[in-house]
Amino acid sequence: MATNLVLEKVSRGFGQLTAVNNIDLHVQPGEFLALLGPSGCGKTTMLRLIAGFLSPDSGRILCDGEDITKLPPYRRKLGVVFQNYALFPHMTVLENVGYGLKVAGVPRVEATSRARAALARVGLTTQDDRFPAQLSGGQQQRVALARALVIEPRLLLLDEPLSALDKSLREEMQVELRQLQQRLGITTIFVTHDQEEALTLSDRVAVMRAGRIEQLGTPREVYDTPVNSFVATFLGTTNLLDGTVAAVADGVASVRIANAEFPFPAASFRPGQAVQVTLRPENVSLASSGSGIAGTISDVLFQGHRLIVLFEAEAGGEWRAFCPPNSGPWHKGEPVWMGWTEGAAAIISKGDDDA
Amino acid sequence: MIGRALFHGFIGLIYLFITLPILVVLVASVSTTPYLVFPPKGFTLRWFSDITSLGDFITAFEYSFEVAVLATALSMLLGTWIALVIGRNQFPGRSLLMSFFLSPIILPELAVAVGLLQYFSQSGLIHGLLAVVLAHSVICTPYAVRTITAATARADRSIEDCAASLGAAPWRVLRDVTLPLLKPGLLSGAIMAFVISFDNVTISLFLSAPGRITLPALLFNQAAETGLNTTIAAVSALLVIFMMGLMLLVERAIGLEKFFQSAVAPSKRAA
Repeated sequence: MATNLVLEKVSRGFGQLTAVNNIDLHVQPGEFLALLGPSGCGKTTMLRLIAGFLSPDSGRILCDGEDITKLPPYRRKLGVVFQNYALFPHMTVLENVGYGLKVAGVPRVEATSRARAALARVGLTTQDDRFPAQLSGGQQQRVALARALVIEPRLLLLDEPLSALDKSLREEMQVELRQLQQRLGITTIFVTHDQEEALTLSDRVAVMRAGRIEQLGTPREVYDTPVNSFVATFLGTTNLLDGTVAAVADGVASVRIANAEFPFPAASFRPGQAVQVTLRPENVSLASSGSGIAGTISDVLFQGHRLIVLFEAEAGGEWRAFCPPNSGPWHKGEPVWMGWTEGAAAIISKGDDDA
Repeated sequence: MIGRALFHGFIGLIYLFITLPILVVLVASVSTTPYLVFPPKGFTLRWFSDITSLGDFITAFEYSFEVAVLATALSMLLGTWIALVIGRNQFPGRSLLMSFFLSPIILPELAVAVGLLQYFSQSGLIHGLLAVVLAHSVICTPYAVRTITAATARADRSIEDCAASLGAAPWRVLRDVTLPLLKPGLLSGAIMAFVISFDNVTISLFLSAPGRITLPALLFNQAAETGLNTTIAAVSALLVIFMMGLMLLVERAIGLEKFFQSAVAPSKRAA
């Protein structure tokens, strides 16, 4: 029932700039895929290419096997929701939602009842005759969603749809959006620069930079095992530790970082190779005695739900740890040893990243 | 504080200086003397009732109105097309083309008039009302282009994109979304074009056929032949009142439109 989408070697430039660079992407039927990246990474261009508002310089776009590359947007039957909602300001809520049915020639009575049903589905039933300017941001968001869904689109394309909402409403809408998408089973592509939102909502995340997909994987994969330091740092705070491969045996690389050695399950490294290790602050364990990287606490910051402990290694380098607020107690200047449970840190080989 | 007051006073004086002639005409038109004097001597509405007996003025007013309406319609059609097609697309030579369409604003009207007269009389096909309307459209279109281009620049393209994604073909997007969004801009463009045409003397003088003359051109001719008399002042006064009435009407229309969108909507507008 749900649609799959395939991008084959799709490129699109603007003058000198290549906004989307030779991208291959398979979106599974019913999948919720996030395109995540900083501004200018090409994520919005990619969405506009899929919607048909832009045409690619090269490559093909296939929807359920049908080549839609040359199809104008009004023949693609895709639902689009923009960041600013782009509601028709001169039409009422019901007219907005019913517009797609009206242009499709659906009889008025049926169009009205379907538009009402779509509004009910997004939880907006009492605002039919209002104009968009009279609605709150959250309500406008719902109207835009209902308007996109009422035409029973093959795909749902969302361009930063939640970023104009305040934090608490955004979190509420995230959950609602996810539930709606799961209930309808509609293939959804979601553009965002908010890593937390991407991780929360999607089945898979495509992390983009400079017109390319740096990594495509489940939220857990991209968060826990980033392929390079860009992905690691873009998806939240991380510590990047420089190390050297000391020995490789039985698929385990022993990496020397500062004064200590740590094992990593990685076969493709050779002894002497310089590597980088990404270690999330919440995975850092500090101990006032024992083994690990020796250093001192340079500061302790209380954030309410956690402590940020800044750690300075004897061999050089400053890293941070997130600790439970009642752990420790940690004191400035106190000598500690830093480590992590096996599997909590991941190797990024150096040289595959130009950041 | 004093500097501010001085500044505001200065601005006020400039305003007064600009609007004073209009006031003079309005006030002088009730003078009992047949020649124009200020301050007026006595009070009479004789000159106003005289106008109705002078059929020439009525005919000329009707002609001016006809020309202005047709020229406005043509300029709006052209202006909208230029603003949407040239103003919104990127292609080589775009700004050159745009400057070409805007050039009548800076070109001397006289040159435009002479050139068009020459062109029309040589072609032999274009004369009378058609010639005047076309010539007026040449000078009205740039103003329409300017105002509509400003409106399109403010309009949010993603709204039109949304309409397209919902299945609306380009002409449908234009009719249902683009033009309604541009409505205030279109309206002010039309006002501009109408006023420019209705007010025009130079081009009308050059291109008017004998017996068919616009009101401003007729007034100019009369003033040139017989000097300023109070009838001319009375006609001018009526023109001022006509224009102000027109503006009020439009202001009312635009104001109502805004009111319509912000106030609680009547339920009969539901789909």
